[in-house]
Amino acid sequence: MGTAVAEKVPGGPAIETSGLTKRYGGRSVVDSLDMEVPDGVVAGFIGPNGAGKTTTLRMLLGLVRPSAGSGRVLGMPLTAPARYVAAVGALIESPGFHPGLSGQRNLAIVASLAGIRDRSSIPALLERVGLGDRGHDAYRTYSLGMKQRLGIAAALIGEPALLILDEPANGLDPSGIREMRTLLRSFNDEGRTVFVSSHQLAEVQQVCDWLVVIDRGRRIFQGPTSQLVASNEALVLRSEHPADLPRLEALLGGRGLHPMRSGDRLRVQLSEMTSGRALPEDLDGLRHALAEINRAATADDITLIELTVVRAELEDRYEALVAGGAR
Amino acid sequence: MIRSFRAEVLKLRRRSVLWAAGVILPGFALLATILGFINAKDTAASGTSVVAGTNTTLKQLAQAGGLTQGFSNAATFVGIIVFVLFLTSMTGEYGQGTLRVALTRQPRRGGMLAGKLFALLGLTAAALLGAEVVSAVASVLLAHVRDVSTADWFTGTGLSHAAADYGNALLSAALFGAAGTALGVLLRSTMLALAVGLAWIGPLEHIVQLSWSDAGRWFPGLLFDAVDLGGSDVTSYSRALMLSLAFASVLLVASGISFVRRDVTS
Repeated sequence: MGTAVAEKVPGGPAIETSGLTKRYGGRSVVDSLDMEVPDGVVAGFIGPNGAGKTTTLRMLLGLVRPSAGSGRVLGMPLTAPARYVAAVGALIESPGFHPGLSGQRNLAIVASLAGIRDRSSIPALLERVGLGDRGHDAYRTYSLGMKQRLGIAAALIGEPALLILDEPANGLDPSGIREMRTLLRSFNDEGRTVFVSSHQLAEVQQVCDWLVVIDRGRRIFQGPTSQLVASNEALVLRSEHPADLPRLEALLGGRGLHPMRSGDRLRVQLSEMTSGRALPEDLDGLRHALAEINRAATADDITLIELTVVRAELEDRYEALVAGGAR
Repeated sequence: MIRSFRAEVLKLRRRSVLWAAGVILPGFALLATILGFINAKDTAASGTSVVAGTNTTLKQLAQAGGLTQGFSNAATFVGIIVFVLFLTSMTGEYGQGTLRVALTRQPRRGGMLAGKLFALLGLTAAALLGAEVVSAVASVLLAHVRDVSTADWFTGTGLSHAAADYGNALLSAALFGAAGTALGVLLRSTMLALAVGLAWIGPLEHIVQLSWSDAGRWFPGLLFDAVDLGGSDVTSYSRALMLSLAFASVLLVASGISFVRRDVTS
């Protein structure tokens, strides 16, 4: 199977929308959505149920007409999906296949629709998604997880430049979810872009390097995952004697940090110490900074009994974002 | 369109469909042929038969059109099968979510609909051809049993009759197929579309026909049947064909616009 790639503007985003809106009756499901997914990233698309994620994905794929606004996928306008879908693999909602046909035959149908006559890579695709030994069985005999895997195999047909997946881990067991993570990463390692909607925030945090968060049809965050997560990571310090806390506070202040009291502890936003980068990216710098603080405290006759990095979870930031958006 | 056609052929190349096309339609034709020969009288009975082909005489069977008389009689029932086939083929795409998958690969919706229809029509044409061949072979065998002369069957006129029977059956099937497609696309639900479609072309048209004889001149299902039979008591073949084509065109344009423009959300 050959690679199908639309004529994307070099260096341009894989997906961009401007004022994208979908109204059903008087209700806006997607409301003036401006978003951008850079080329070559694994981007997560998250938001509460009914936030407009699936409708947005449908608009990107030409299944649903926008009521207003515009957008481009791989540099091509949303109004001309025929110019870019050949380079896009997609799984939207639950997989839709013919129940009486085998997995292999269903993939052959998708390949035919994509204009791919050489079906020699279908067995390899089935193997890649863990269905190598079930390819000849009827789709109706598949479990939910197997159906999902077949949907992913269908999305991979034609080696697309962009993969758009809507809740791909639905129905997958833990090992399936792990395989999905590996699959998305390997796909991205080949230089391709992935745009994936998911409710599994822990997975999103692990696999996505770019996030678009929407609520009630509007974007409430867009940017690197690390940027969102780093803003909630903190260093927690506690001295042996609570009476030493003001001196410790002053010591940290003297280093340009802004500690905040939290009971008998001090809390410093980690982003102040890592130049806004997420922990794994600047671990050496952080270790060095922690050692410096510890040495300075000891020199000032303050004994630290706690020097802890509190890792932020995407879930916490997401909840805060959505709660903020709801106000 | 070619992609969609190929994909549809892949779907149709399954045992259940091939069995239905290769056995049911020829089976109908065989049954109609056997019954036609068995029930054929020496002379015509008085009165009009309600069911096509049940008041045939041996003399009629010996005429040029006798070779495919059984096929022609059976074809009047084919329309409903084709109607259901085309209708469920469309609603199934919505119901199973396969249209959503297909459109993410082939967004040219007009071409997709056309390719699908041509594939279904191709299957119908092949099944009807098989049915006619089975009917013709059975007619030859039964002619010997009932001592019916086959001299006129294999003349130019006789073969023209056979070709016309096939052409009319295919035309009628295509018209029913167009109606099934339109209902399937417009209503999207198998149950709803079947209920509306079968109620209309089944009991409704025929009940109205009982009290209004001109119904056969205007109602689509009855006109499609008239095309298959080469005309009817109330309308000529050419009129039935013209009106039927007009009906089918309107239905196909309406369903085409709906298919191309409506959002696919299922």
